[in-house]
Amino acid sequence: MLRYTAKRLLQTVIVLIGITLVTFILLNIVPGDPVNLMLGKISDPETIARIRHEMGLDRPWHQQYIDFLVGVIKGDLGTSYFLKESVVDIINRSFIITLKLAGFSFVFAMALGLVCGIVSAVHRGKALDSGLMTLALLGISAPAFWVAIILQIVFGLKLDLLPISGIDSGLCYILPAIAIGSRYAASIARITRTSMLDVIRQDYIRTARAKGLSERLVIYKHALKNAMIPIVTMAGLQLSYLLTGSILVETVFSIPGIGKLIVDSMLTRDLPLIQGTVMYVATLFVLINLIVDLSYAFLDPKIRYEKGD
Amino acid sequence: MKRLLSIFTKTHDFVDDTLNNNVEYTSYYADSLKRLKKNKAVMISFIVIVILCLMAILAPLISPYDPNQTVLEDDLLSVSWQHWFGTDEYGRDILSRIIYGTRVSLSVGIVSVFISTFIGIVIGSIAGYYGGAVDSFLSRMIEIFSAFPELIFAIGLMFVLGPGIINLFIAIGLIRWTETARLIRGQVMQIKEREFVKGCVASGGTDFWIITKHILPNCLSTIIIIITLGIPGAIMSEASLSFIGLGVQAPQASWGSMINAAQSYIRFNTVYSVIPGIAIIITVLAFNIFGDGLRDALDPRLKN
Repeated sequence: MLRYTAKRLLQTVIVLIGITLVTFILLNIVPGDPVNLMLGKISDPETIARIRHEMGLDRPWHQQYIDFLVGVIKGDLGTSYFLKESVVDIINRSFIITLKLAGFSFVFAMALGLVCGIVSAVHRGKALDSGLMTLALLGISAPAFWVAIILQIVFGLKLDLLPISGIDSGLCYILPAIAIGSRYAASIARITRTSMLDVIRQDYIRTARAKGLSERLVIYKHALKNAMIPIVTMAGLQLSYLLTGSILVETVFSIPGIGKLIVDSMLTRDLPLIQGTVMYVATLFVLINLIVDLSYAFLDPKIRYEKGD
Repeated sequence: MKRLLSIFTKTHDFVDDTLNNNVEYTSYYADSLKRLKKNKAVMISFIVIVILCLMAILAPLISPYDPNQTVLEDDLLSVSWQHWFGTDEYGRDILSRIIYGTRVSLSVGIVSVFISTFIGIVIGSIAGYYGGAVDSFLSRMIEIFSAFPELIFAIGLMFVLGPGIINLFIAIGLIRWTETARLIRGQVMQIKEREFVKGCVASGGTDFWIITKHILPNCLSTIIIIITLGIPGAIMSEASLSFIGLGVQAPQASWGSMINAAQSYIRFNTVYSVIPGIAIIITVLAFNIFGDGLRDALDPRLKN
């Protein structure tokens, strides 16, 4: 375990350095000088040169990269051009909101996905099963931002039940959480069904039934527990759905989270902010994957030996 | 007694038939096609895909109006016989824009998947074939690129490249190759250990020859599956990018950008925002079902 952990940590460090490099290269070949964009119509060459110097844009790119890297290690991602505020502060503020939203959609998606998957597996081949699986297929194929707008129309405008924008109250999180979680729920439902069907065929389930346990006990205590391993792996790997969903859905509901921050900073071409947010999100991703991998290796010793050497 | 004897006669017949070329041999792909044809859902989704392709090709002939013609006094009309799905904020016919949008979705879906599959095959086969230091370098590269959440990487690329359909091909093509590379790498590593490849090496085949003529043809079914199942994802990425405003250039119709525009008018014209979403769902669903069916047909062991 120690060896596998060390190897995986080293890999993560390499990947993280790679991410800073890719982000840096990507955003430093952007057409259009950021200083021109920032100053707008004032095009006095002396002012431009002075600001370029102040921002360190007149130095060779490898030096700029090293500075950027040092900043990242120190937790300093620069200052936003337009908001005139530390990028880290802005990101931290938005991240809390996105985390809250993602938490709600995770709970919603897990609950709905597990229930639908189990019900489908238990009623395999019946109308209920095909109905639920058709719904799941639709859920996977529907874009989250469109689901968001449909929810706004139905629950906000037609039924007038829930607020459709902002984050003034807890109720505001309900519709966005459903919109973000729909695709995730659908995919959890599908994997739950497959995994449950695999387990239900096993001999020990037949034994459990044969010794006269109630069907409820067989399904929830014996089958579900064993079916959980692939479900948990899949749930971890697909956490990206929640993030991708929030980028698109936050804009629809005007929620000031990370997703809206990325889209807005693109529109205003606020380079330090884009750079910082992309870095932040990518790093978060790598760390989530690391945790999922390590905990999986901890639970299943086979992985340590297969991938460790 | 007669029945018992028939066991022997049957083998006899079989030998006779084989010698006289009476036995019908079917190839692996013919078998797969037979399995594919049996699956009703797959055939329906195939028909839907054909219809979508025809819509894209024949768009100028079948769309009732010019998709970019603005008639300001007819803005946000509701559903009617003149305009089946109503009109948008510039009085443009929504049905015609949906039909033209098929072109954007399908072309981005297909072209970008071909780009990503090509990159994935090149990198995956080099990593798998040479192994060692080359493999660990390329594998780290694959890891770095797959660490970026797809949509964020695509947003970054589109931001750098600027809007337009060619840039969509490139951006979506560049984000989706890692999975392909990983799958091809694994397959190449397995196939290169087989006798026919060793034989090829022994008889002096060059690396390029061995990879392209002997190893990759054996990965063909994986490649077909990667392409078909990659298309719906690419279509979804295009819709998402267009929705954010980083997709096609302004007047050109794309389903994602139509939903983005419709967002502001949900109070006045609901049909406007519903229809493009349904178009996306139908297309993505058809490719998903077709891809799943194809996978089951090409590799029945994977079916559950």
